[in-house]
Amino acid sequence: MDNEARRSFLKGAAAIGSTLAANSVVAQSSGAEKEKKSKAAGVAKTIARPGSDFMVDVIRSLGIDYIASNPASSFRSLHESIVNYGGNRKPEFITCMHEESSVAIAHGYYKAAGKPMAMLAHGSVGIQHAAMAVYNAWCDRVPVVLMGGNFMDAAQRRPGVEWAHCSQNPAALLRDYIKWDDQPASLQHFAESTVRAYKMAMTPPMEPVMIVADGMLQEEPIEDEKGLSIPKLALSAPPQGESGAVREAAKILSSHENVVIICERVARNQEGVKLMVELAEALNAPVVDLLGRMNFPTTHYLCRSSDGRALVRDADAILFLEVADPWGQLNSISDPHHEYRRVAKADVKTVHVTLADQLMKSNYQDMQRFCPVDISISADCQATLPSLIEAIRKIGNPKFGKTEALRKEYLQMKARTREAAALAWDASPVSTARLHAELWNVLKNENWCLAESRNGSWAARLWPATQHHNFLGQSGGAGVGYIAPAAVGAALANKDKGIVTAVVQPDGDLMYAPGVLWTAAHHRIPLLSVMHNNRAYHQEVMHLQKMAGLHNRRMDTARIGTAIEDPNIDYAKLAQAQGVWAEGPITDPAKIGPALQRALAVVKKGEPALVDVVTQGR
Amino acid sequence: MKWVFVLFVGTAFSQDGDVKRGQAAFLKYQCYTCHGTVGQGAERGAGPKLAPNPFPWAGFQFQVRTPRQDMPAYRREHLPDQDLADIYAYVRSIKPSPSASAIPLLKID
Repeated sequence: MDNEARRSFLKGAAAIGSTLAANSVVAQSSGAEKEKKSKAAGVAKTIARPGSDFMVDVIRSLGIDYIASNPASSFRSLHESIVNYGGNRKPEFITCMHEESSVAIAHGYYKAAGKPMAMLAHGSVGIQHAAMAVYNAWCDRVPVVLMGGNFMDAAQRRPGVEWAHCSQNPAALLRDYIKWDDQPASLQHFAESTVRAYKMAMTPPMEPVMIVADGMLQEEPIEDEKGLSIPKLALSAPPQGESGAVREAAKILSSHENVVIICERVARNQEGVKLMVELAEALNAPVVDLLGRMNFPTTHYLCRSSDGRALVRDADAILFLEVADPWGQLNSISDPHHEYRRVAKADVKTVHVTLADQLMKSNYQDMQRFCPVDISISADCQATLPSLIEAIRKIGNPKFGKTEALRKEYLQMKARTREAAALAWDASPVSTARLHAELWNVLKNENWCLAESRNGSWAARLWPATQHHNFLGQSGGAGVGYIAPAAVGAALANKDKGIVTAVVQPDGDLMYAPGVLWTAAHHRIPLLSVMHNNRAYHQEVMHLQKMAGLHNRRMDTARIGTAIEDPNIDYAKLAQAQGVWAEGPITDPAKIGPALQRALAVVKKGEPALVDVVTQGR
Repeated sequence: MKWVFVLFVGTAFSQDGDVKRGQAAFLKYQCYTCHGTVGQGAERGAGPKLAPNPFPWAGFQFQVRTPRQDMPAYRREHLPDQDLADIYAYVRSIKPSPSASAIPLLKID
C-alpha cells in the first residue's frame, strides 16, 4: 500500500481517521469519542506510517549512525521505527542502562568520531538521569543530539505513570547547559528544528542541543507526506579571527624573547595538530598542552607540557588557545588556605583566542575567573591558526638560536619523567607509572586511542603520541561517572577504523553506572579497560586530610566515607557477570603484562576486556 | 659539605625510630595517600617523593608539623613524636628503585 492509498484507506475508516488525523500536538478528540468512532469503523487499529518513521528519516539525513538509549514509553514509537522501519541501521539503537551512560557514550563517541551521535531520554525522569552527563559535554564543548520523549497533550496521556513522566517544558532542566532546544508541534517543525539543532551543535563553540519528540506526533499517522520536507544541512564554517587583531597578536608574539603557547581545546582533527606544530615552529616557542584535546605531539621538542609552571613564570608573552582557565595558568591559590600567588610576571603580555565569550550562561560557573588579557580574539582556534602562522612568518624573527637549548630542556624533561616513573617500580599496590608503562607495552605496536587522558598523567608524560585520536581529553565538567561510558563511546567510534581503544578506568568512576560494561559486551564494542583500582574516592581522602589538618583534628579517619573497601569490589567478576572477558584483581606488577596481552587478544577479536589492577592512590 | 650537614642534622636531632612500626604509622596516618606507600610521590602534583634519600630529620619534622604549601599539618596531639620518628625511620629505610635505564619498559621514545 503506497502512501496515497494508505491515506485513502484511513480516511475511509472515518473513526480512526478522524481520531488520528491531527498532526498537531493539541488534538482535542476525547477518549470516548475515539472509542465510539473505532467501534463504528469496525477496523483493526493500525497505523502503517507513523510520524516516528519520518523522524527516523530526519535523523538518518544527518548521518547519525547511533542512538544511545535506555528504552522508555515516551519514545516507544520512535524506538519501534528505528528498529523496524529503519532496520536498526544508521541509526542503530545502542541499549544503555542509564541515561547518564547514554549521554557520556555520545560524548566519547564525538571525540573519537568527529561527528555527533544522538541519545534518547524518557520525559522527566530520563532527562533528570541524563543531566550531569549533559553538563560534562557542555563544559567540554562537545556536540550531542539529545532527544526526549514527552506527551504534551494531557488529554492523550494514560493515567498514572505517564503523567509523572511528562512535563510542560522537558528541556528546562538542561537549558543552563545546552546551546538550543525545541519541542516541535508538527513533523515539518520536527524536521526543521532537528536540522537546525544539529547545525548549531556543530558550529563552534560546539555544544549539546535538545529536541523533544512529542509522543502523539510520533505515534499518529503522517497526514500529508508530500507536504513534508527535510531541509538540507550545510554546516557553518567556523569563525576566524579578525585580521587586524591577528596581526597585532603576531607582533606581540614575535617581539618577545620568552614566548609560551598554552592550548586546551584547539585541534578538531589531525590537521589541527599539524597547524599547532607549524605555529610552534614558526615561533620556536614551547607548548603546554592541557589536553582538552590532543593538540600537540608529545614527541616534538617543543612539547613541554610537564614544565608549564616554570615556563609561565619565565614567560614574556603567552598565547592562550581556547584555554578554559587562563587565570589559573597565571596565578595560583593554595589549598586549603586560599592564599593567592602570582606565578607569571606582572607585565607578561597575553593573547587569547577563544570562543568562550560567545556562549556563556549565568548559573553554572564553568566560565572560571575573569582573566584580563592584552589581545582577545573571539574566534575558533583551528580556523584562525593559518592566518596567525602566516602573520608570524611575515614578521619573521623566530628564536631559532634557542633551538639547541630547547631540545636539551625537552630531553631533560623526558629523562626526569622516566626516573620518576622508575620509583616504586616493583611496589604493591602497583604504581600508576608502572600501570601505564605496562599498558604502553601492549599498545605500542597498535594504532591506539586512550579514551581519557589529562595533562600531567603518566600517559601524557611517557607515551609518544602524535595522532589526534591518541588522546581524547577529559570530561570537561569533572562530573564523576564519565570515563567508563565515554570510553565505550570512543571504542564504538573506533571499532571499524582498526584503532585499539584503551582506558585507564578509575574504580569510583566505574561504579556510577557499571551497566555500561554490559552495553559494551552486548554491542561487541572492543574496549580494553585497565582498572586503576585504588579502592577509594582517592581525591576525597586527600580533601578530608586537608580539612582535618585545617581543623587541627586527627587524620587517620580520612578513609571513613571515602574508601571503597570492606568489602573490596571484585571488578573482574563485575565485568564477567555482564559478559565481559576479565582478569584480576592483580596485585603483583609482574602479572600485569601477560594479563594485558591476553586482554588485547580479546579486544582485537572485537570484544571488550577488563583487567583489574590494584593500584597506588595516584 | 652538604652531606656533612645532613649527617650532622640527622644524628643530632632525630629520635630513635622503628622501621616496622613506622611503616604501619605511615599507612595509619594516611601519609601514603599523597606520597605513595614507598614514598615515591603521586601523579599530578598530589604529593612529592619522599624517598629514597629523604631530607634531614629536622626539616622533615618541621614540614610535617608546620607544612609549606598544600600539605595538611600533623600536630603533636594527633601524631605523637614517637610515631613521627618511626615514620622517618621507615622513609629512610626505603631502598632506591632501579634506575630508569635499567628498566626495559621505560625505554620509551
